[in-house]
Amino acid sequence: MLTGTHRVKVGFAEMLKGGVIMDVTTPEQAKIAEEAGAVAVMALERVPADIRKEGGVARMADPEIILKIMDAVTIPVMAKVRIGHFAEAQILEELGVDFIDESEVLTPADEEFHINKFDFKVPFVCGARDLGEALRRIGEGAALIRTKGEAGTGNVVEAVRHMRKIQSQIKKIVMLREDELMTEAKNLGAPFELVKYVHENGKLPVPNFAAGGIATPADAALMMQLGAESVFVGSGIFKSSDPDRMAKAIVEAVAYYDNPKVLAKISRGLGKAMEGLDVAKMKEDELLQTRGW
Amino acid sequence: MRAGIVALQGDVDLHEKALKRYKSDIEVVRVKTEEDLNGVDILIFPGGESPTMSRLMDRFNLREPLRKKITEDKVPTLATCAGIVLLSNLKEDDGRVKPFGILDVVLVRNGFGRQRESFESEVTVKFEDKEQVVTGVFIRAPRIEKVGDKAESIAFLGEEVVGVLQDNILALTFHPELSDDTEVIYEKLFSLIG
Repeated sequence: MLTGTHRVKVGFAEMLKGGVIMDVTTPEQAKIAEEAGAVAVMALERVPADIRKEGGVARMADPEIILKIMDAVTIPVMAKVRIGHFAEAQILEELGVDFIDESEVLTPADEEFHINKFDFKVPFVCGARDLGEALRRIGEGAALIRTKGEAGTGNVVEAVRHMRKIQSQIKKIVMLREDELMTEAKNLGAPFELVKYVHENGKLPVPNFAAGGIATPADAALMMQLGAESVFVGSGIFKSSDPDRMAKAIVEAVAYYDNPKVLAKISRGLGKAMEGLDVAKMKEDELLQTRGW
Repeated sequence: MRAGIVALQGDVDLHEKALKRYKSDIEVVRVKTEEDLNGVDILIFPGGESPTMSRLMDRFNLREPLRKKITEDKVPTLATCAGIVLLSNLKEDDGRVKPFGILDVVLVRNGFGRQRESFESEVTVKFEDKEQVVTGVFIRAPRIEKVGDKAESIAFLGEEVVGVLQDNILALTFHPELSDDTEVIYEKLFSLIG
């Protein structure tokens, strides 16, 4: 009996496709998310919008909170660790968390190295802004990639930018001649074998989800049509005026992302979406997406 | 031959890939509305999260059309993981999933534990005419507590039952679409087409 194999990790990521993973900070929120049809919850102490507002060092959540959330729901529970903080990851694995997010939303613990994710039986998800970053994380053992977007802004523009970038880089690699792949790998800063995989298969070797700024059902549908296979919604649900309805509507929008008739129906009368930030007006040091190497 | 994969959520892509691996000319439809069910010769319930699927099925009026396809039209059906949860009976009604209760099987969701405990292992598949060992991939899999008279046990993890055949339904707690040595299961599925 083999546990923690590549197939078991990536297979689990496949099961989460076509779904919504919601940030929650309490067991009550986790239940609302499960009831709404989320495929998993991300257990946090603060949602990204609050991390942004309050500042300070953002760390792994208190295990007490994570355990309470694990008790409250039957769907998978994910939790975040700081980039490079493998001791936080060891703690989350010990708790039995189902997926670990090595996340730029928390304050990085290492400004040079990420976690060697092959050391763990629990699968990891990591953020990426471009194909090179995605393939480096997969090379370190990530079983799932999500575009970074710009978390806590309620503004989908960066998620769109990153998803389009990755998709167009994939298309380019498919078109290259085989003798051009090594130089492309060098330029991307990506492992050659994974560049070759993309060339042959026209996709990442693991599922590719969207995150960072998704705040409405239409945002979710947009990301799915741009090639995301699921969406993470952070502050967008519990910072809206009616989280219960917003959560349900976003779940439905992901399932029927290519059906405008359904989308029009479920988008009606949802109340106020979370307040957004104009990313273009933010200072470079306020951006979370630049964290990760 | 046309296969309909219930595509409300879950590992639809891998099921499509597996179907095409074993039958290259098969047409695959992703079922999200009642109309998508027209003319399907095979129905697939993929893995994923059963509470999500159960809720969307009710919200978008797919429950009764699906039930009719399975129990009245007797369309050959393959259900894996979350799929077998939807078709069986749950030992405890936790209010999160409303199963069809078509299969004469009682299940416990996530019966092997959380993702850390997910595993792959040899599984013996036993049909009347054929016995074969395949790779079973179990992901937060449900566990079969009881198999009633109407269902026949056809897949075993050691002594434990991990798959059943009941009339037109082939249902497994593991994922044949995640390994490439499971042709015997698809052969059986295709053979159920009358």
